[in-house]
Amino acid sequence: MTLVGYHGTDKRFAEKIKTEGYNYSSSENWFGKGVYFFKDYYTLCNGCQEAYNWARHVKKLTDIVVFKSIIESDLVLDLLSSIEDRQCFDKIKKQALKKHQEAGLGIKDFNLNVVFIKLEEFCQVIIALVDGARFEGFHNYVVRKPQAQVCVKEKACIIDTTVVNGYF
Amino acid sequence: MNARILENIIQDFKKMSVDEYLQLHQQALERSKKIEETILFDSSQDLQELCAYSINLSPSCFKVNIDVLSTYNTFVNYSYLSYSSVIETSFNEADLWIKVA
Repeated sequence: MTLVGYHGTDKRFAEKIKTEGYNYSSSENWFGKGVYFFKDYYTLCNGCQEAYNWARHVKKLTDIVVFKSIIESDLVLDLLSSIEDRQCFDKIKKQALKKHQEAGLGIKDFNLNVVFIKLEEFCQVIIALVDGARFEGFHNYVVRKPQAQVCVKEKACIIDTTVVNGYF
Repeated sequence: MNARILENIIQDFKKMSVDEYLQLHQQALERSKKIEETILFDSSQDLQELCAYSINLSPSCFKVNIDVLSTYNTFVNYSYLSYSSVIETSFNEADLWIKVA
């Protein structure tokens, strides 16, 4: 599978990315250590705009640079647009939940990260729909802010990177 | 995702002992906790206010923009809040992560 991802940063780190490539983010993100991107998904979300917004409003950066990268891998878990992959994910989740209950823990204590941690061993790229409104602190279940996010676990999957010029 | 990978992961969960699962569960909780406790400072005032709040979290993970880093150092040295030790620092793109015990 080949896909396009957008990554927002600022000028200082853009130079480093141009010469040395991306750094892996820390392991505290939703899919652990990896390089994170936003992608377009029909009219639902604009990857380039989301990358800019993330750099500007979440990371509070100035002098923002957005990179466009081509990502290629056969080990992709697509929780955004593949019904089959979502069904796989649900099957794994069901098995994990069974083990959770065997361990004597309540369903309310189940943490989906147990599934993500196991998936990390097998996937190079994961695509998911994430709720960007989580940063606002007052989001509700009706009106959310969809973001199509991509986590690349293996940097070799990023085959080309260019700066997005003249967008902003 | 192909069927073989799916089967591998399902089998992993099936074969996992309760102790191994509890260990994985703990790892999952720690990841969530780190996300929740991450605080982004974007001004020295935020830093002072949020440090006062966050001193109760132990250990805590502070995310400090490079621009306020010098202020942070000044603040920590000057402030009435004293941290027992800085246990780890690592440079990560636009941020410096500082864990304080």
